[in-house]
Amino acid sequence: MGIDPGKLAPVERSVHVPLRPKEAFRLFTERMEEWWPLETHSIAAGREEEPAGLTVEPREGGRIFETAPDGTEAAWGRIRDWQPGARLGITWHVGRDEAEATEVTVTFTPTDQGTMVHLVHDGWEALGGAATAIQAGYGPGWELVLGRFALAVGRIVPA
Amino acid sequence: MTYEGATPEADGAIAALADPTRRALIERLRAGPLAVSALAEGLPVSRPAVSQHLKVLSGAGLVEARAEGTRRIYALSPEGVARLRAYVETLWSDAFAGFAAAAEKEKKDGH
Repeated sequence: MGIDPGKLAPVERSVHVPLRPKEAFRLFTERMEEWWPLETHSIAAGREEEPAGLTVEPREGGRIFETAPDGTEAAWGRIRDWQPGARLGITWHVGRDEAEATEVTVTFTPTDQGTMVHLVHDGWEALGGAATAIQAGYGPGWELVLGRFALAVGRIVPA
Repeated sequence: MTYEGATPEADGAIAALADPTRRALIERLRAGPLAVSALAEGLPVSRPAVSQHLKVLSGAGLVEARAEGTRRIYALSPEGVARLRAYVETLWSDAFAGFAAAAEKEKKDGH
């Protein structure tokens, strides 16, 4: 096994949708609640509940947060790049301190039939040491792992 | 977030990582293989406790141990790491499936 901190492998996903880039962007962002699989991928789901909502504040600096059934808000991330119809950048820190955010970047590229949506999740080097997690006393849960994913995932290049 | 849909192996790995001491151990192993004594150094838990945590990590497929004389040397397991990575890929695959379905519906509804 080799470990190369300079070689962080991002997770990438692409999907083609039959909408114009501006529409695709709007659906992806402002209407995220309508399509995100909250029943399986949310903080509430970790407690076998379903969140009451998922909010994306549609602007640079806007927050992305989940609202629990009891009304509690839990941050998922913050929008760092807001270019409607073209590009969305999110600092992604579900369940963790914002300083330990990883980076999600989504680009929207027009095609003849619609839009190619491409997502890159990286920036694992931003994750600090486990000391922070210990000090903060983060509870167990998958939300941590998405963040800590890297600890294990991002930097390791199997030889 | 939950880890429904993860493979049983990834599931075990994720559960193993829910503990901060175990995450600390993984963090240390990122720089390369280490003996138990070096892994335990500076951690606010006893050496037997560290060994116990390593056993859990090993059982979850995240670390591998080998004997070197009287010492046991631990290293991250590339396979365990690959499974976790596959899990995060699953998250975005699930999300994109939802997004694509919503987009198709939008198109059909003539918006």
